[in-house]
Amino acid sequence: MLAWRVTVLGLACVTLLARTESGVRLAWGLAPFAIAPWFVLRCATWVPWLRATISRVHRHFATRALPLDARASLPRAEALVDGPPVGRESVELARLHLERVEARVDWTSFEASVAAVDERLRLVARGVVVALVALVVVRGEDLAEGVAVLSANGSEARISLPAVRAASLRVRAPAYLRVPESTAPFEGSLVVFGGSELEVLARQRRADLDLVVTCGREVAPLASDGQGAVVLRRTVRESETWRIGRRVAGVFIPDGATLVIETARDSLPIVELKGAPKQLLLGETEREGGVALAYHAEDDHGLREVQLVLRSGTVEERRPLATLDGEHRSDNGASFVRTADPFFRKALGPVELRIEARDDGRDGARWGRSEAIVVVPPALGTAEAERFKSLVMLRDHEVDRLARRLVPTKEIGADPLAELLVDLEEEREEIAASLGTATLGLAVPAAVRNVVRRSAARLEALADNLPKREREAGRLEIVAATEDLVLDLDGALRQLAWSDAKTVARRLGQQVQTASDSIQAAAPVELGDNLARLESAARTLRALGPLGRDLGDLVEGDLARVKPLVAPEPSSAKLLLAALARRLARPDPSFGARGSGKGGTGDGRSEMSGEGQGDGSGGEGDAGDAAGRGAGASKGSAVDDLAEEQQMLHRAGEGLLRGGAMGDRDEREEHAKRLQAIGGADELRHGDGETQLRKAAELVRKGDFARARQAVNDVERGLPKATSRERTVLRNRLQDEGAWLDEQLHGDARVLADDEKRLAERTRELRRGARVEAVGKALDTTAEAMDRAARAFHEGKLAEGTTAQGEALDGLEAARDALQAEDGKGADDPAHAAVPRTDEARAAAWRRRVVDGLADRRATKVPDAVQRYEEGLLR
Amino acid sequence: MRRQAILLLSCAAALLTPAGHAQRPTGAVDEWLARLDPQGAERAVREAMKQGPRMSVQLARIAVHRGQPRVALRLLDAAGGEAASEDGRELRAIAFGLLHATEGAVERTTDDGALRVQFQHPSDVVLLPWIAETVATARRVTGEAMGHTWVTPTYLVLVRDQQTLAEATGLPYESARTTGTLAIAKWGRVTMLSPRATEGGFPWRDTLVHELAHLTLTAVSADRAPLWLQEGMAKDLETHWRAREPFDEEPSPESIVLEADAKGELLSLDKLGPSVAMLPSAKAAGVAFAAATSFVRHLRTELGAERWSAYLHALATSRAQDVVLEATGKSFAAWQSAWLASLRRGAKPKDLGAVSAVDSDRDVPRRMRLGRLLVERGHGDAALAELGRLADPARRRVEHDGGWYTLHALVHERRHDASALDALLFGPAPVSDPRGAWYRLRAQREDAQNARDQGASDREKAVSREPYGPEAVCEDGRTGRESVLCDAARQRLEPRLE
Repeated sequence: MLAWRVTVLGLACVTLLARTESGVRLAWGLAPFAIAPWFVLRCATWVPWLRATISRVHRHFATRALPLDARASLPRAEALVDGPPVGRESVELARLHLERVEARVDWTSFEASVAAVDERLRLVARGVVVALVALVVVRGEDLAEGVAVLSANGSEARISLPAVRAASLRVRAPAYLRVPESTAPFEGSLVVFGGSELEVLARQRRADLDLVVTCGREVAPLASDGQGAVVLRRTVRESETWRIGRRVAGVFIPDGATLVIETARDSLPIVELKGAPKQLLLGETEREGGVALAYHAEDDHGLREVQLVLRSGTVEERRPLATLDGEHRSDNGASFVRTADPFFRKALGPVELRIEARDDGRDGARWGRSEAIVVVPPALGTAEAERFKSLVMLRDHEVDRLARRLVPTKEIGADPLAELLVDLEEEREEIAASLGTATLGLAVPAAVRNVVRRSAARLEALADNLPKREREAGRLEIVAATEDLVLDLDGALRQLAWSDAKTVARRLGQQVQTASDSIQAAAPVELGDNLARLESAARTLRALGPLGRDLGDLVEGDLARVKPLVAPEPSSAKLLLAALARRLARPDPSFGARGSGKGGTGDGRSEMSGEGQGDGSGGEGDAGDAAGRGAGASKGSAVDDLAEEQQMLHRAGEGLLRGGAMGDRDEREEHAKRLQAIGGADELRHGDGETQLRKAAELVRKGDFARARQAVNDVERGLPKATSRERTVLRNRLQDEGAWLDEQLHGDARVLADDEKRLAERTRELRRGARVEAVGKALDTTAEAMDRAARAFHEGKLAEGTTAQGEALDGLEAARDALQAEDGKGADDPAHAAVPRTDEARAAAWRRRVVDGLADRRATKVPDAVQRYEEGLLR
Repeated sequence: MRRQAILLLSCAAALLTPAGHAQRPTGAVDEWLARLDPQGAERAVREAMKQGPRMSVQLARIAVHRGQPRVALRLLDAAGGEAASEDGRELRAIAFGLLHATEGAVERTTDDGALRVQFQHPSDVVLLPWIAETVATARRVTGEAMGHTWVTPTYLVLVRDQQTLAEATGLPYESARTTGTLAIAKWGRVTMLSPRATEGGFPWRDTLVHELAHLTLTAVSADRAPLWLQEGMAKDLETHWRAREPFDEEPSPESIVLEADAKGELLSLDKLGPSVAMLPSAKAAGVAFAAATSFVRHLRTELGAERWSAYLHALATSRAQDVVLEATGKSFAAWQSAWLASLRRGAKPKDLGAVSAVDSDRDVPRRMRLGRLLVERGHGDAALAELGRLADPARRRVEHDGGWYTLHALVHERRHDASALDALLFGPAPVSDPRGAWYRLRAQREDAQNARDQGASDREKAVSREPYGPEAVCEDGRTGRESVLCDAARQRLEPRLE
């Protein structure tokens, strides 16, 4: 019983220490000593010893009641009696001695004295017990806290202790939800909107309590509100459980009140895209010309914005569809993504089309997304290749017609004139249809249309006059006009293929660069897909004339080298792809020679074909054929040809000057983004490199390549000289962008300069045959202006070049005027006869065609003015 | 290869230790490299290393000669400040260019080890049999002509485009495009453009022999031959591997020189600059080639075979080229004057006009293009009619034009008119620079007439002229390497739309 008492009291003392963190440590140190008496006393072997000890203590105090002489003699006498018997006489003597000593003691007094000692000891024990009980009673809460702390599971107590008298809650929902403020008790469960602000107001039981609220895993302290209460304000975003309690020695002792808060999410907008999810091939869309998108967006509180999102791999483009006031809870709309959309042309893989709607929430991303319509674009350049293919088909049919007209069949009973007229009518229809058809959203360029229509118009004029002409002469005229048409179409096709091949190759180069950039980060499967797509694009590129075939073959060869290296030597594969990307950024033919019409080789041999397979610049354009085209025509037509080509070059020059016509806007945007991305690199972020590259990006967007180049140069020069892998990569990327800017600055301008030079040579050839002095002078002026334009473009002086081009045009106009004044021709020249008003038959045919055209119009957008003009014609 | 790379790297590592800066023995290394002997250069480096100088750039140069760009780049990386010199920078750029051209490239070595070829475009490997034959013949022909025995293997890199050609050799790209450079013999190897890089092909086997002649003369003269001698010899020897064609030198080098002389466009032969490939235009390059060829022939004739051979070999041991030439009895200027005077004396009136372009009449390309389109669409009769519409003056101008004759032959083939085809193919009129299809058609007709040897010869000419032209190399019933080449040619042209 005593052991229990001692142990309990010891523990109580120890527990009282556990009020602070150091106290807890001390208490834990003393606890074993508190428990020790109990433990010791519980052991049977020690109990007698303890009893003996107590007995000794008791005897010690009791002995003090004996007389002084007895205190020493009585124990010795007892020892003699209890000791080992030496002999019979001795035992007797010892007992006798004891009796004599005992007889000298006053036993009554002794017993009274012992009783007094007993009483004092009892009193002391009771006093201690009372004191301890009093202590426990007075500091009970502290004791409980100590018990809670010592028995805590980690930082949270296993028992609860009341800490507050009253706790309440005030709920304020986000303002945009327009929900009034409300109150609730701090208990049970509560549903609030995510983002609501909750205010806990409580009165604590003791002023010195460190009150806190656990909110999920966080612990938030309550602060005094200055009026005797404590308060906590907190915004709730997720569902969580709140408990109020006190914090003692780093341990949370709950009050007992628990509040389960559930957040009612402000739901994300729900967006439905009609037909999604589905996958389709570009060019095989349900609606002709693109993908039609109809959507319905809805939100529980209100919509702010609706966007069309196009995503391919890591590339994303967002296009706003609607901007709303946040009051409207739903929105319906539609959009249309054209097959010729630049995003499809740039995409390396499938493109996801989604509609995304944003509500008025303020926290994080608040976009609701629709399911996706996945559009699988054809290989890069497919649209251009298909367009080219369709025009080649037209040219082939024209070649077939030329063959029929050159060697007419001699069937019995057939009327050659009637057959020819029918053939001419079919030809007209086919030309109109081919030139008006868009392939995968890509229309036939105006330059090609104009060239072909002009030749076709000449043919039509002859056809209208055919019944009036002598049969064989008429046939020969038709043959000559068909030859012109074939050559014009062929020449236009070559130029188109040339420019398309360059454009597609540049875009392919960008994708090759992307593949190179991702070669070490991408998963093998993704990398394989990328390479497969590049191969597919290369195959498509091969379809674009000699230059396309050349570059496509080059790409295929390089990819064949890259593929086996990807897994074992990714750095080599990356190196080769980067080199290929640089090559495609400058899509020159693989072989070129200048300065000689025959083309040169390292050993001076001529190796280029004389069959129009390419001129000195490696197959560019059709200068040879174009030069030959005018040989059979009048000088006036030759001047017209020159004027037309000069006009095209002038337009190209103006485009260059504006920085847009010969540069693809999407391409500029792409490079601007790249410059911005480079500017975001850590190496540049701390200096002014980022600012300069941002500025360069803006300049690229505006087409100011010269200043952009300067900015890129500055950044490159500012890069620290010390080498590191990151810096090398950065420098390479800057150099790539620099090379692209150089190409924009000088590449097209030099091509233009070469074209101008060739045109000047042709003008001089024409001048050599000029019989009229005025014509000769005009042509001299023209050739001189063309030379100046060529020089200016070669030196990159675009404004000067275009001005000189304008002068060349004026010169050609003067030459034409001089020719007409001299020859007095116009009506007799078939080239000048194609004016509807001069010939009633033609006018009738023209009106018929307009009627047919109007009847056949399908959802084409015709400006009102044109429509009025057409209707006027019918009256 | 791997062992050599390790050796070079270990040499470099040894050289990185502090060393004296005594006079650098680069001259000996250059001498060995000039003689196309990298092993000798390596020995020179080892000798030099015993004395302690740093020679990483020289080792890198040897690596480039051996076709080991990665090793060269590593050596240059390890060279520190030495690689920052102009020499080092140029070498680094060339090593990078070579790396782009040859990394992952298909490599083949002939069984006898005499030829090592790297194909940048894997499909070009089909040309290997013809390349091996040409190189074997060229080594013999050029060696005999210059009294040289080839001991080291010939190293050829066949590149896919002019940009790679420029990067792998150090020639400025713009210069390559200006003069239409097809091949370069430098760094102990021939770097040549693949015939697939040009739309209509080019006489690539002549070009290969031309470049091997450069290498031979480089080895003979320890790279001390002047430019006019290099180009003159190479041009003279480039057709010696095969039988001569009627229009091999039409117009003749002499007529080109005389016309340029008359127009004041003739440069002195000692002022051609560092390379013909760096002249301002292809025409200027053509004139330079013609002048060098004519002058070399004149000199060789005047000196006689024995003195000529002695002159070539004397170059290797003397540093002053002019002194060597003067040992023949005249200064360079005197020789040049004598040569021009002899040309002017022998000039015939027709020579002066021989260079006039055949294509000056625009009606020719016009008719030819239409004819080509018609024949490709299967309208043989119409194509013939179209070509027949060429006016007489223009017709006279194309009477020897290979392109015109080839197209005519294709038209007759389309019309299945064997007699007209035979009359054209075996007619009396010599044809200048016919296309590959011309030779293929001749070969077919010769086979039909049981002249199989001539047929085989013409097939070889077709491959030499236009290896990737299906019209030139594709025939029904052929097997073996010709069939493989035909497949490659067809594949290269797919899809042909235009």
